[in-house]
This record gives sequence, C-alpha cells and structure tokens, in this order.
Amino acid sequence: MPKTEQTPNDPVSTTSPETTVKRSTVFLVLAVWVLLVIGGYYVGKLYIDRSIQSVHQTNAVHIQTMQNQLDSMAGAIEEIQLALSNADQTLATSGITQENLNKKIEALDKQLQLLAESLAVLKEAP
Amino acid sequence: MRQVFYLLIIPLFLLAPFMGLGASLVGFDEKAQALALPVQDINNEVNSLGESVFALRESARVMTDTIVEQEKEYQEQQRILQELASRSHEYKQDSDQIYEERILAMLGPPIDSYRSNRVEIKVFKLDELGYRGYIAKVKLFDPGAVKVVLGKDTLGQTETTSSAVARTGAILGINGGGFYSSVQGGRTRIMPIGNTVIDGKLVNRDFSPSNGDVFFAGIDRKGKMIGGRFYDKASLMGLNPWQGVSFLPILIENGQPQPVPKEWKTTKQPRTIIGEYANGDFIMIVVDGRQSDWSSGVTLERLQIKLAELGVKEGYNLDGGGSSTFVFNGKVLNRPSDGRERPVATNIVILP
Repeated sequence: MPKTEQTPNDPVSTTSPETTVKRSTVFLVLAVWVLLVIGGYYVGKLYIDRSIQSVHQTNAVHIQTMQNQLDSMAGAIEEIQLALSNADQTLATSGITQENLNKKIEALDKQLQLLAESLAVLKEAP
Repeated sequence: MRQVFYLLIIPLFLLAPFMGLGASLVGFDEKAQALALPVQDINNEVNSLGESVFALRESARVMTDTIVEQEKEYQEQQRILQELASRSHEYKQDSDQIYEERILAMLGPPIDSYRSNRVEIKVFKLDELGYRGYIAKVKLFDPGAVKVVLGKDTLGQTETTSSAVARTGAILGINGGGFYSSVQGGRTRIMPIGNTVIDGKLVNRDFSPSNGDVFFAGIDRKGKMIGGRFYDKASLMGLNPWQGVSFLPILIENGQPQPVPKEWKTTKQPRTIIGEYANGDFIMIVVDGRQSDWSSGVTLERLQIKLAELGVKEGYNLDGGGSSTFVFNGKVLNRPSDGRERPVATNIVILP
C-alpha cells in the first residue's frame, strides 16, 4: 500500500497502513467465516433434511405396506361375509330341501305301503 | 513464531463452530432413524392376522362349496325319490288294474254299468247250472253313497226294494237284513233281525247280541266293509259302523269259507249276498229260486264255492227267499220268487 504523503496542513491520519492491513485481514477472515457459516448451514440443513426425508419415506413405505395388507384383509373379510351370507341362504334353502326330502320319503313310504297292499290284494285274485 | 501461532489459532478459532456443528451432527442419521415408526412388530401382527383371515376365507369357501354340493345332492335325492314314488304309484295302478281285470274276467262282460264321482257300478248276469241271478260290483269313491233304508223310513214298516230305490233316488238296490213280525199293542210291526245301523246310529232301541249265527254286516265311515258276530254294543260301535244290517250266516270271512248251519247248507233257495273283494270293492248278488223253468235257487254251500271262485274275501248271506230283489236303474232285474216284490224291513241302496 502506498504511503500517503503528509502535508503540514493535512490532519494527521489516524489510520496507519498496518492497521488497515489488520482490518482488511479481519474483514477477510470474517467474510470467510460468514461464508463458512452459510456453507455449513446449508450442508447441515441438507444433511438433516435428507435424514428426516429418509425417515419419512421409510415410514410412508411401511404405512403403505400396512395399508395394502389391511385393504387385502378387508377384501378377504368381505369375501368371508359374502360366503357366510351365501352359506346362510343355502343352508336355509337346504333346510327347506331337507323338509321336502323328508316329505318325499314319507310319500314314497306311503306309496310303497299302498303298493304292498295292492300286491297283497293281487295275490288273492281269483 | 507469532505468525505461525496466528495461522494455526485463527483457523481453529474460526472453524470452532463448524467443528461443534459437525460433532453434533455425527450419528444424527442413526438417531433420526429412531424417529421411524416401530412397524416391525405391527407388521408381524398384521401379517399373522392376514394369514388367519386368508385361511378363514379359504375355510368359508370350502364350507360354501360343501353346502352347495350338499344342496345339489339333496335335490338329486329328491328327484330320485319323486321318480321312485311315481314308479311305485304306476306299479300300484298296474297291480290294481290286473286285480280288476282278474275279477272282471271271472264275472264276464257287464250287461250294464253306471259311474259317477261317488260310485262305479257294473252289473253282471249270473247264469250257472241250475240257478240264475244278477251280480253288481260296486266301487265306492264316497262312503255316503251306500245307505240302509228302513221301510218307509220307519222302524216296523216295510217297503219293496224298487219303492225304496225310487223314493231315495238310488241307482241300485237290494233287499237287506232279515226281519220278523212283532205284535205290540195290538199292532203288527215288522222288525229287523239283530242290529241295524243307519248313518252311524243303531236303529233298534236296544243292542241285540249275536244269537247263534246271526251277524252284523255293513260299512264303516271310511267305506270299508265290517262284519261279524258282536256280543256287546261297544265292540260293534267301536268299529264306527256307518250303515249295516243283520242276518245269518257268514259265508266267507278273511277269504275262508265259514261253517254253514246244516239247515241252511243244502237247501236251494233264492239268495241275496253282500260281500267284499280284497281291493275293497263290494259285490252284491241276488240269485233267483223256486222257479224250475228259470232258476231253482242255490245252496249256501254252492254259493260259498262260487264266492271263492270269484275271489270274494268277505261274504254275508242276507235275507233270501221271496225277499231277494235286485233293482238297477229303476228296473227290477231279477224274478222275485213270489211273482212280485215282497215288502221288506230294510233295503240296501246305492245312491248315484
């Protein structure tokens, strides 16, 4: 830095070149420090965000997986309900069918008795 | 030396916050992972529950399939049973038809017939060696079509068979049970022998126990023939008689010829017989007699043989002689031995 020539009328400069260098150095260091702070902030933020995002993604995947499983179970339960409902209806129908079957058996039994009687009569034919 | 100091200290001083920040971030990722939901246990539970639910679904499917299959089997069994019942019904009809044909083959071709929703009547001519007569085979669809009729509907009165037939609007009529004269209070009354039942009620005031070979024969409320010797009122009324008369003797019981009293056995007389076939059809026979140029009559022994030939299962001898009369469709078909119809105490008529 060139030295300023002093004249008698000029006020004596209070800042020496050495001081100016020191101040510049300090300013420079501070600037670097601020840049490092900002850089560190971004790096730290990026790191934290990535970590949290990773956790979020993991959680989301797990929740989605569970959701799929629950949906699948809900579908299965609906199928069971439908199957049970159908079974109930079929059983009700089967009950009626069973009753009809019993009636048919009774009717056949009666018919066979009549046939047996008729054959017994036929035996006595002249 | 001082400069070296500054060169080392100042950067260290400047980097101190970052070093602290860096130090604090060391292991942050692992710690952040701790924020993850503890889904592993829940997942295991959900998986286990899912397996149970899916297993249950499979069981429900199998159960439904089984039930549906069983339902199909029931329906198939129902169809088979229906078919068997139908076949059985057909066989019964065939069997009934064969029996009917066998009976008719023994009776020969009918000379007349009548059919309504209550009764079917076929009339045959009986022309045997030494005797003639008429036979009616009666198939009842309604027991109410058979009726025993008192003479003029009054106990103690008499009436000819044709008169009773005309009065009641019947299609067929024969004379009924035996009767006797009774003088009561100076008046002669013609009273039926034994017990007479009309519309389920005993006509005679007091029950008359069977005396010797006297029987009661008639039909019950279902139209089935009942008959036999009864020694107390309860045993007779216990059979729910609907219509019936009394006379003697029983000729055929359960298909077996019954002993005939000696005095009835070998005498040829006009006869009136009522009987039943094994299939429940009734047979009414009137044989003429005492007319050498037409019919000499028949002995009960001979009649038993004839009834057995015809396949009759139950046979009862009703009042004969001059009482024997056979009326069909408004005409007296036989030739009563008195030369005219004899008024009798009871007649049996078949309503159309």
